Amino acid sequence: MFQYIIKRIFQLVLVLFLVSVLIFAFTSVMGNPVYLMVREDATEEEIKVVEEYLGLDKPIYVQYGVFIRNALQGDFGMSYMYHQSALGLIMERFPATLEIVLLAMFLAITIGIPLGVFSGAYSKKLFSKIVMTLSIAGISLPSFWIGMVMIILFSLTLGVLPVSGRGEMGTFLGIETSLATIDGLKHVILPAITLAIGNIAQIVRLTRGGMQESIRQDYVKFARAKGVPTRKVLFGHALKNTLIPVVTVFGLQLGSLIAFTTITETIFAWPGMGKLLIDAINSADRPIIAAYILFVAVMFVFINFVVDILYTIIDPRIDLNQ
Amino acid sequence: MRRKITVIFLVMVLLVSLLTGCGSDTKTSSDSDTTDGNGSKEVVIALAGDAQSLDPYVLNETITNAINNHLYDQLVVPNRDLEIQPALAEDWEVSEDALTWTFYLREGVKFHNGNDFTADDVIYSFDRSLEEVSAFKYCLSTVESYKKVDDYTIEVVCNEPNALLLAHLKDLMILDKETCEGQTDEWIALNPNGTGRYKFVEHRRGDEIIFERNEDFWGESPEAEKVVFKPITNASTRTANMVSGAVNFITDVPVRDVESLESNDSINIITQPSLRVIYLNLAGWTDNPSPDADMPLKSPDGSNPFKNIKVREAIYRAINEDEIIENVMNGFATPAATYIPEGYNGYNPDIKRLDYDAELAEKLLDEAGYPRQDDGYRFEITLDSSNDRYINDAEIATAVAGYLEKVGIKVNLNLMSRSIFFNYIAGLNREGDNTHFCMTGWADSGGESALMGLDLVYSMSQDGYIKEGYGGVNRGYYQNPETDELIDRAIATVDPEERDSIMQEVWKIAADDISYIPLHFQNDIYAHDDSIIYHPRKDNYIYAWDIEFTN
Repeated sequence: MFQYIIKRIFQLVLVLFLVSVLIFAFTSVMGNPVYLMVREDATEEEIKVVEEYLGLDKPIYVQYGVFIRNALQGDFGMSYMYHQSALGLIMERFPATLEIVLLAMFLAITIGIPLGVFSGAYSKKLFSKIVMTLSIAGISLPSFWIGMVMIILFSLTLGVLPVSGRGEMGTFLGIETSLATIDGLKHVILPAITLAIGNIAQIVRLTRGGMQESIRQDYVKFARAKGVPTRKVLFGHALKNTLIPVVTVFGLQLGSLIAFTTITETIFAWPGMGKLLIDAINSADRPIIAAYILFVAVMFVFINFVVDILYTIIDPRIDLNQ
Repeated sequence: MRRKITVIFLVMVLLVSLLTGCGSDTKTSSDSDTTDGNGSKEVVIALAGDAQSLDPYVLNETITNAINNHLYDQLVVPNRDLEIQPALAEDWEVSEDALTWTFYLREGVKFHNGNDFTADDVIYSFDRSLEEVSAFKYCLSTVESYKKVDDYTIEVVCNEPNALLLAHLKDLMILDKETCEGQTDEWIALNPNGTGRYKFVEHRRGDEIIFERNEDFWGESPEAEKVVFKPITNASTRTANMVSGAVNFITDVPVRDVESLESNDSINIITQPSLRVIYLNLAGWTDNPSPDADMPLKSPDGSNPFKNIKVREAIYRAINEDEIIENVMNGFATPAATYIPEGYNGYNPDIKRLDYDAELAEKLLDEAGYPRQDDGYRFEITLDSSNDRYINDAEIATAVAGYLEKVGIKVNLNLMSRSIFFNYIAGLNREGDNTHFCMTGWADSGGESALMGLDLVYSMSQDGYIKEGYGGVNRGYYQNPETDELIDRAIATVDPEERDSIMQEVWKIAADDISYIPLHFQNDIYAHDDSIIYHPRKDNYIYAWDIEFTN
């Protein structure tokens, strides 16, 4: 186990190095932030002062060196636009994103897995066919469309839920969150469902596929013959053996949801990290983009690490050191 | 099994209908807590973006500035019609030569934390506007020195006659020296302390900013006691919020949503021509236009066709602006004959648009010596335009290219994002001389004609400034000593009416020379519910004190 963790940390360092080089290469061809900061008719002198202030007057490899040196000390620089610490801005927005993502993933598990189990176990029933059809729709519909339809249906036609924003926040276990108040919950539902739909569909299809496979296995037949209750057969025996791919995909989904909620957040004016990222890209705000992508890279490595640990719990035969 | 499904279905129906029931309840309650319910006057305003910083010096951008204006005051402020009014400076004097300005500050003004406002605060703020972090260095660029005379008097000395100092000072918001001195930029942004009409309550970045009325404000108190600004970048979401009644007021209504909002009885649409003019720049005062462009100008004999005024007139006449306004802008634009819209200083009613006439355009091009070649084209140009900066900019540029193709000018359309565009086309050749024909917009937030003239038509050469800082966006390198002299005179003229008539002359000359091709003024479009009345400002700044309550 220890060996495994060391290996993982080494991988993390390598990933971060490669990612940071890529970020620098891409953001340097993305457009010059200086011209977005000064007036359109700024004089050469004004531009030079701003360039020096941002450290953009130095060659790109020197800028990279400075960036790495500061980043190692946890300083990703000041955002060009906000004049505040880039990492601080991201951390400030992180809870909002985590809220909708966690709720979305909760929905994905509680709806996706049972649906997948039943439609896999009884794949010839009408119910199963309906689930399959809906899941295709769920995978293929783009989130900006789902978001707008949700707003039109629930906010404008029915008038049940608010259109956008984060709503009232309450404090729960010392954390400020929208999940702690009724008003906040109402605000969080639509963006969370919009995020969840594609994932529910994917998890349903994965679980169903695995279930169809394992339901034919001898141990399931044996358990049934032995008189084990159906519920136990399906969830205890069959499901457990189909979980490995589901957990893998789940981990990837969690990561990409946290990293790329941009579209959903923009539609619902949800003040999360995705919106910060898109604003930063529009204004070529390199410190934010760099800090953000490195943050996402760390998160992915961490999630994969947790997923690996989960493998050993689900299937004790798996040994991480091999 | 089937029976089970039926039961589940029935339960679902019950749940949905229950939810719907709750829904109508929540809606009425949310209506009542805005304005009419408990008597407290609150207004919720949805903007297209957030205040990036509550430090008024780090970024010069409309939304950030307008929000900061609620917290901070300036020495002078423009009113709705953009006439300069006294604010923290109660009165001022200008020396005969327009070099020395003396400002008499308002006494008894308090900052939100109770500190007194004095001349020291003004000096501190002026100093800060010149610091590295500041985006407002231009405000004092013509100022040689400034000093405190006594606690309530400031003297500002310009290095050349400048009657337009006020137009720049209106951008400088006054910070409290005691609060800010020695603090970091980040701290200042998070702890705003001004003298303005509203006090800071809370800022949840990207979600909302809440202000409450400053009961100790030195001037007339605004009606709204509490103001909530919500940044909603997605235009359709803003519209949906307006329809659902979650907000009282939205800005930048997309033209496609206007009709559906108007059909709602409780929603009013307000629209007015803005100061922003959309126009075409053409490099007509050089023999070697855009040597660094990817797609350079190509004419059969190698000459620059834009140098010929007949060609410029032909291009002007070939574009059917009325059709652009009707089809691309859905009618929400006003045709422009000059850079200055009606009702502003320097507006000259004698300047008229040249009529659309494609046949005449073809004739003019023939006369100018650019007949159609074997391939049907007279010469080849590239139109550079942004695609995310102005309302429907990419569509307008595409339409323009289409009209020019019809009269035999081959047009390469070069659309790009604003983060690249402004650098690419910069008149100062920051990254080479790339453009000979581009579409841009311009507005002076103060609507000051002489400043527009200084930026847009003051002589500028391909090699850089002729006079440092003048003609910074004169991208066609228009050169005319006559207009230069008039603009210099306007800037030194203190009397507004005299300045107005000088500038009228400037715009007439620039229009007769066809130094640029004006297209239209964008319209500002707002929507609000019937609990309020809104009096729009000409500079598109949204202020809570321009909102009146109906009951």
